[in-house]
Amino acid sequence: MFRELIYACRLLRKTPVFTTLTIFVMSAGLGLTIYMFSLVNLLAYKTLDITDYDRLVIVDATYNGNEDNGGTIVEHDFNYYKARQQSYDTFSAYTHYTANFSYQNTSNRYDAAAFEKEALALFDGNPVFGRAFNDDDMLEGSDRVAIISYQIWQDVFDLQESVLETVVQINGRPTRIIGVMPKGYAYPVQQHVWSPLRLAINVRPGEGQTVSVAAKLKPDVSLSEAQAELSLYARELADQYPDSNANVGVHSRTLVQQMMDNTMQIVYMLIGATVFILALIITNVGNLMLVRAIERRKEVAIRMALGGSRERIVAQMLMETLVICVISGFFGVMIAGLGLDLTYPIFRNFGGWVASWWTFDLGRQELLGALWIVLGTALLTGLVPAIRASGANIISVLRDGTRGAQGKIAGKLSKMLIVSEVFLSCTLLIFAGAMIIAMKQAINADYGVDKQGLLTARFSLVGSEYEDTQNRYLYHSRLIETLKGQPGIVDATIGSALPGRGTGRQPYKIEGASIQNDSYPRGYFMTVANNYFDTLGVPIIEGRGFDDRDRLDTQRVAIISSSFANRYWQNESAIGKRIKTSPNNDDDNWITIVGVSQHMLHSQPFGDSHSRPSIYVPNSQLSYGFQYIAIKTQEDPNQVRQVLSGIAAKVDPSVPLYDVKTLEKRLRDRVGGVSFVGRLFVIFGIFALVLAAAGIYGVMNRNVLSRTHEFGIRRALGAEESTLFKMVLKQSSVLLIIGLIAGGGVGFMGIKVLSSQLVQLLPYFPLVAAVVGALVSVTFLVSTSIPLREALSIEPNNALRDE
Amino acid sequence: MSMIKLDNLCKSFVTDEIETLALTDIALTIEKGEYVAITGPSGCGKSTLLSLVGLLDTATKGSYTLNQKQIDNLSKKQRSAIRNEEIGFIFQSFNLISDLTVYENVELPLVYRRGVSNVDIKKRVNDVLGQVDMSHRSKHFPSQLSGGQQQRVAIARALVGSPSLLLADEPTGNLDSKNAQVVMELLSELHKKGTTICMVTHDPRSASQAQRKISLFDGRIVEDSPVDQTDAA
Repeated sequence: MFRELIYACRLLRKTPVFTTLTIFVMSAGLGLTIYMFSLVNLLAYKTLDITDYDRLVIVDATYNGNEDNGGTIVEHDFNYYKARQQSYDTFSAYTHYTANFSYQNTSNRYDAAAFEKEALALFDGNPVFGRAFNDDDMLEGSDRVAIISYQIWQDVFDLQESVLETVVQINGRPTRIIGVMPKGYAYPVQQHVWSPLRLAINVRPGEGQTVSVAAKLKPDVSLSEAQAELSLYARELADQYPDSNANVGVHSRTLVQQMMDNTMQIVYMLIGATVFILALIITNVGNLMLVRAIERRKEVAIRMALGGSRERIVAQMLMETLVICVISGFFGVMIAGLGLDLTYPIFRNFGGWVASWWTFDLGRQELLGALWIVLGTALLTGLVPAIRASGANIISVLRDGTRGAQGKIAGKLSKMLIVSEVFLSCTLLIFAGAMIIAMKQAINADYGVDKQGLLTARFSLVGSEYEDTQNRYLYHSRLIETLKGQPGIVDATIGSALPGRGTGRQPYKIEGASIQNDSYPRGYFMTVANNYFDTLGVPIIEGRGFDDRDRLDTQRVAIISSSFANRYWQNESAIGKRIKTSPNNDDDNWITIVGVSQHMLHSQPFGDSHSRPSIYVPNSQLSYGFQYIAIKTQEDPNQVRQVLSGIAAKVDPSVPLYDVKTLEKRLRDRVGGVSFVGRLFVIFGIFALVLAAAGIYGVMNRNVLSRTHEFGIRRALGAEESTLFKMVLKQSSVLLIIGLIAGGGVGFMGIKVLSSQLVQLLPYFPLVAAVVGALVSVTFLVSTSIPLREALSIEPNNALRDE
Repeated sequence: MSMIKLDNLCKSFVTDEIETLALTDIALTIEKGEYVAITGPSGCGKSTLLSLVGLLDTATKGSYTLNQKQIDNLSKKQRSAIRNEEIGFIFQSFNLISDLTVYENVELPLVYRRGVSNVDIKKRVNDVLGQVDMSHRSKHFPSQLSGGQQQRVAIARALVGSPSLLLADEPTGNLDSKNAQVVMELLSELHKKGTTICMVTHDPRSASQAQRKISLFDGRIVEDSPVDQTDAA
């Protein structure tokens, strides 16, 4: 084997251009493949370091098949499932929240989770210092306790052991620290504070807090069986409580896939693109190796004539491919590592959760995957050429010299290679084109708001002094008024949501209207300051805006979006109509519509979310703890960032502002995922085109060279160069057309899938297909013309002598 | 009237910076209707001379007049047209295109000629296939034919365009004596009908069929004499 290795290295050294070119193509391709494999693995298939992770399942609620409000399950339903289910050893609840963590003079904001005792155990929540939750901690009325992350222990408590039993303020409430989690522990997503989740025992259907569910499958039960069982109970609930549970279902999956938040289709497309790229590399390098194998047929024949077994010959030829793949694999891993390093900050900017396991480095799992990719590529690339070369007839090869004319099988293989190259590049370019359009539409989406000069931030009023609407409203008013007086600030407003992000969709009931499909419709529900619409530049197109008439002690009022009004009152005014936002609660008051605003987009600009209706109520009548502030500035909004934070600290130092960014950036980050995937597809597309050009050139070069003798005959008989040129182009154009049709077909299906997930892309298909078709055709023609011109430039006499 | 006139024709090849003279100062005139055999040992330049005469290659120096037409400065396109209309080739290794049938191989020169109708092509192909007694094999591929049959097809292809000059490079080199005899008889018949034939051969019996023998040695003409027809007999 060592002898083969030395010989392979010597051969590669002898042909530096071939070796460099092959390693370059292979390194880039393997780098892209390993990067994508690592990314997809990280996002969707990562095995987490949790005991029995393969049995840990996250159960979400669905409404009409979609997951609203993060897929959380209503407490009543959770209790119903828990009491009946037989598929899980553990079925437990947890919730996410934001913790304003104050100790001595420091105040920080952390992502936190409230866990049932069993849920914490499911996530291997064993403090490295102190203790986990016990039964007493879970009792209503017992002392508030919390476990903190190693990082908080380090940053805030300087790793002092006295941290245990220390009382800190979490969201304004005294809380005793009972434990410290191991370094790096951050489950379920990116948490730093864990507290006990105390659930009520008796809650009415459709009511109670909403929870996330973590469950551990019994060893002999599959995920699909468990899903079927819970779906059965979901249907029972729908039958028993149609008002609250009609069209409510459940969806079970792994924690890693749950984080992907319904974007698995995109992940599958990325996997498809990666496979396509790998196929292109294997095709291209395989073709180069085939040419090399044909060149070495005489050497192989001599070896076989001297008694070399076919296996030995194949192994010797494979060694060359293996050496190339290992070197390229090394560079590929470097490229992939660099790509992952560059990806991390991009993901951080998306503005959503960044899971603790999204480490964006090449771990054991990724490196093992890379090894398999490299070995698999070596085998697929080298095996066919090696077997073909070693299978030649020794006598004919030795007698015939190195005549390179193609046999029928080689001819068919060439045609298949060309069709494959065109098909793969065409498909990837169509995806890339579609993603560019999706990206452009997402970035330029009309949110119905004037984004210019708006600086935004978030804050949470969760302390004991902000438990009711009145106190929250007073804080809002104070903050707005203080900000308005600052130089450079034109206006300031507050709302529970800004365009691009809603606060969850809530069922609503319209007075006098019947419900369809046994379930109440849902709409975005937000609490906003009186000047919310003015500051955001959103006109009230009918009725009035909120003002001082709207108080806690006056009639409850709402402004609805024009999309809401158009849906129900196309031919009449919505003003004066009444709605309820807790339809099942008989005590809930009717809310009177006093205004209709221009429609604002409160979600990502994808799918059917464009026209979802919205309901706004004044935060003088209802106010949530978590709010956004938006200030309108005269100049560059970034110049008043310090002013904004300073004023907020002056109004109440215990309420820090966080996530400060311009609205423009917030909206851009909101579609960052699509932009990222779009850019990836563009890279894939360009790379595919370059690979296809090189591949088609390689195949056509071999093809044309093998026909040099034939061209000599034809020219001897009087054929002009242009005639032969047209003849070959015509013959190869058939292959181009087959590849384009196949690629167009798959591209069309891919665009159809993307359209259901993102923006409507099908109308753009003809344009994208035409551009891609032209691009691939030009590439094809150029790649074919170059070797053809070379072959036809040979004098007929020399062409006739060509062997 | 001369068909071919070569004046001081030279051809050299450069490989690895070494110039090799294949032909030196070739001066030669071949009249219309002549049957000339070019002979000489291997590597003497016979085939190179035939390639230059057949416009398959260009001379390094000297001038060439074919049918009163100066050839030296013609474009590739013009040379292609002359090859197509005025010259017919017969090769030692037949040079049939393996993916084309006998009929398709024979029709090629007419396909490349402008203004020939399909009906005319069909008629002329069938005529020449009849002349070489290969009509019954018109739908076969070259690999399905014997060597002699392949050479007859190649002759049919050379004749189909009614060339005024027939160039044959060792036409019997790959054939057994029986098939070689058939081919030589075909060439003699063509000569009798007025075709100018220029044949490269190192077989004395084949050379003796010609009217005139030109011998080459080391790229130079060393003998140019009429063939003694008593030898041929």
